[in-house]
Amino acid sequence: MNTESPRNEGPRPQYEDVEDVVRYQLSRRSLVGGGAAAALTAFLAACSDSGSYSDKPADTNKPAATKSIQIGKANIPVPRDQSVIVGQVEYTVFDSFNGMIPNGSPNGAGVELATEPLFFLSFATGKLTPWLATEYKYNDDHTELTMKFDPKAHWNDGKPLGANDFRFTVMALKDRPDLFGGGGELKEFVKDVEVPDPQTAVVKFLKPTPRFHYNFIAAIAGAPNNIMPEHIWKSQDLTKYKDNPPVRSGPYKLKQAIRNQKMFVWEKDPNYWNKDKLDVKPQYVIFQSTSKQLDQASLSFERAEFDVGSIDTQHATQLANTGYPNLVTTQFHDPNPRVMWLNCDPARGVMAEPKMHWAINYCLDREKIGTSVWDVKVPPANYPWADYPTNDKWKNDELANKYKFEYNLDKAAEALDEIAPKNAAGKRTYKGKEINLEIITPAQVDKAEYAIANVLKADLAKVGVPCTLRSLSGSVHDEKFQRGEYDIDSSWAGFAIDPAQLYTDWDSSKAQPIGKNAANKNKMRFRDPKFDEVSRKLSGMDPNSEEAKPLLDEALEIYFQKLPLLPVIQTGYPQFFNTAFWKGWPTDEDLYEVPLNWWPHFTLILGKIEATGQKGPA
Amino acid sequence: MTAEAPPVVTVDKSQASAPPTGVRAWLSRHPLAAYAIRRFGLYLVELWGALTITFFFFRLMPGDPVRTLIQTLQQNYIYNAEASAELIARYRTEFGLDGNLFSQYIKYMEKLFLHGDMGPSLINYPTPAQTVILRALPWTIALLGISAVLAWILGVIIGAIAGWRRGKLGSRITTNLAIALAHVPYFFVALILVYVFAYTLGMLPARSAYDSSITPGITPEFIGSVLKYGLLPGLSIVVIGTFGWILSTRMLMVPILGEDYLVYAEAKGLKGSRILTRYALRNCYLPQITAFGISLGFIFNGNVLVEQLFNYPGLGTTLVTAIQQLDFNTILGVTNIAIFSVLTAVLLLDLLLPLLDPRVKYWK
Repeated sequence: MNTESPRNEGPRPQYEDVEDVVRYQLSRRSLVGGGAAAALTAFLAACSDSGSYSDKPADTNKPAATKSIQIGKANIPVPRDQSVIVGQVEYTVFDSFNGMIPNGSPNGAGVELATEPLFFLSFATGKLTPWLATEYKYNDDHTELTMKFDPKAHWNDGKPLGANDFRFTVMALKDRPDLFGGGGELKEFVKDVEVPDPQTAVVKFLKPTPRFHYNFIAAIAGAPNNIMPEHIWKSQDLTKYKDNPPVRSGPYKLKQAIRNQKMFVWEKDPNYWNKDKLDVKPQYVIFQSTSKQLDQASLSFERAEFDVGSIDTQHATQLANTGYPNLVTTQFHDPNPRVMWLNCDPARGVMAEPKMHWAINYCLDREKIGTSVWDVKVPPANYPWADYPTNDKWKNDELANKYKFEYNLDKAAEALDEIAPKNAAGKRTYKGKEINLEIITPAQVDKAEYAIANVLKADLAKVGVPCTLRSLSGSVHDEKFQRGEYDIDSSWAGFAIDPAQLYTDWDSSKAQPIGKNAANKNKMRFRDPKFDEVSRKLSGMDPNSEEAKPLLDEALEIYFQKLPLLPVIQTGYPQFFNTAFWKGWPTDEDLYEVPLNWWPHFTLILGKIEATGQKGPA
Repeated sequence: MTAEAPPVVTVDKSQASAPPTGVRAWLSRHPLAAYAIRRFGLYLVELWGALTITFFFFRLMPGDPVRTLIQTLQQNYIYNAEASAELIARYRTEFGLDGNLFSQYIKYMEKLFLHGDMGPSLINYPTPAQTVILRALPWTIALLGISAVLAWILGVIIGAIAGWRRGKLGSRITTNLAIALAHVPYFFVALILVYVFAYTLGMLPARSAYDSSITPGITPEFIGSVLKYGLLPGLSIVVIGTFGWILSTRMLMVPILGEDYLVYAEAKGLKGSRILTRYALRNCYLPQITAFGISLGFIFNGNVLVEQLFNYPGLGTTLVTAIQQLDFNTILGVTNIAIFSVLTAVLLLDLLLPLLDPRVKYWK
């Protein structure tokens, strides 16, 4: 048998011509061409400009607007001209409003518009406004607190609201440390609550306290404890009940929670009990998750699809530079200045020395940090609290001048020479050991708290103190921080309504040994018997009383001497509002209320704004 | 004691050479079934192995979910988030985080396999993780599933034609375009589409999954709205996905064109279109089917960036949120569904390939 095929002897068919096949494979030219096309596409996309709203040169800080904006169609189920639309975070909870269990209620979704405190304290104006309660009064030895409730107040289902609901809330929560808002101060102080009449509640304490009412003031975000309607909750399991729709007392009621639109629609309650005092203007307030892609989110703001939020500082600055006529930027400082927590435990060596704290303080270039590290320009912080009008009374400029905060590396080196002189190798040593500090922060490496720590690290290196700086994620950081396994922590201060509240946490009795969880108290392991004595006296005193003033100053002076916590900068978080549909938002010039949409104070803003008459596109 | 002679064992030769009976016999007579059973056994082992590795892998992530949540709440000034040890202990138990890793694993597997329960989700407590996942899954399947299938079909067809008509202007344009765009990220294309079609031309919506004024239901109005809102995100995935499949199909097609059987088919006088579809394409689309099966896993993880750009209520966003909050039950649930889908798709493909391609035989 002939094994050779005659076909194989002939010329190869064209499909098997290797050169031919290779010719049609991707050539270098094709690759270069393709690459060039991709580059061109990228270039054109990068060059695309959202346009300018001004063709006039800027004679002030902002170009004059010559063009009006193009309004986009907001995807909402209610009329646009009657709605304020707030851009917010990613929501995951839509069917539960029980804030006592983990993620049992959506945060920043407008529940705050329905939930009212007993009192509002405005950090913008410094004013304490009675709301559900009309007054509070302690007896002379602070063992009893009487709360009076507004007789007009009622829940949004029409049932009366008053002292019985207050008693129910306090008694239901005081022995439930397994609930958010449960246990804590309620358990520590409350013996019983008496209700002599439906508008009066008398809280009997186990021990004196002049600050129990703080638990019911909306000062920083919502109040620590909001009262619950007894008629709804008394027959429910507090760990399971979803409270949907939420029965509250505020000017808005939940109309719809649309999971697939990541949207909450709140409608004005026509039967709101306090209309005389607060008549909110928008018929609807909508909270919706914005796109996490910042360009997309800011385009939505630019087209007025959102009235509040949905734009970040960088895009807002760009938009302002184009002359965009409807942008209002309002600065507001966070309740927490950015701080450095200093570990004072003797086990951390040189960190236990107050002079070391001062040396670190001299290395903090607050001006530089406030000008170039934070997103917006912010002032330095000289006290461990925010620069709100309500906090002015706690300041003492004489003491602040005596213990002046300044950036001075020579003074830092001088202080270090006394406690940690350099050895023959030129390294600073403390009790024979070379110094090397550990700085930790919960902020990611691209965040400001990390950058602040990095600035400090560089300056400490200049005076011969080497440091390691580590960014640790959430609970990993928390564990190290609480266990005292750090030297310096770059994060934020705790917040308080008065300094004595802050100082109470710094009591020596709450300082745990290194390695043991501090449970959020005295995380810097500060120990000072004199400070304890003063702070304990203050804890039983009305901080506004005459007798408290010298003690507050005394405590402040010890604080300045020992510096367990270094305030660095005030924290500015600008808020952005669009005036296409609504005007009268709080501004830097007229900061009539805290401009944060996730605080209950936002309802007070909704009572001040006015519709512009602009209609949404069909 | 007398020694007894050992018993004589006689072997029935006819019995020894008889074919096996029972299950073994049946299996030897049905090689396809034998293969399928063997393959299914392997599938179960793979599934168990993958679920186990995933469980331990996620548990190695540093951090405590309950403490992380409390810290997040505190940072957001949820003032009553001050948590007691009792609260932390209670929810560690609820989320299956108490005890050692092995006991957590046993408890998780027991709940998963015996009760079909993935445990409560942390991001939407006390809703079970499977409910949270099932709420998002239809959107992801509708958007990413349909887009992926569409991209695959278009890519294979266009890629085959581009390979078949290599050298022609249309083929060269398509190929160069595919080279340029195949590896452009979806979200980048999505952003351009949004800018052009939503913000410049105002033709299509840029966010959400449907018009919020329409009540969801099986109505033409709602379906129309979902299609309209899904067009831009879907288009971004289809456009880029198609270019990827075009390139790979073309590359599989070009070497096939030199095969003898195509010359033979041509010599027989068959039409070009018939040679392409019946001879050339059938020989190059099998690897593409396998690749598509494997790519199904990515569908279940969602296209996070596209979902986030369009604020789409899919599984990708759910997964990212769950990871951010260390919601192990939801993370594991999504991952396990992806594992199950990919392994099942590969199993089915393994069983189907012999039907699609007569040359493929797994059994002797």
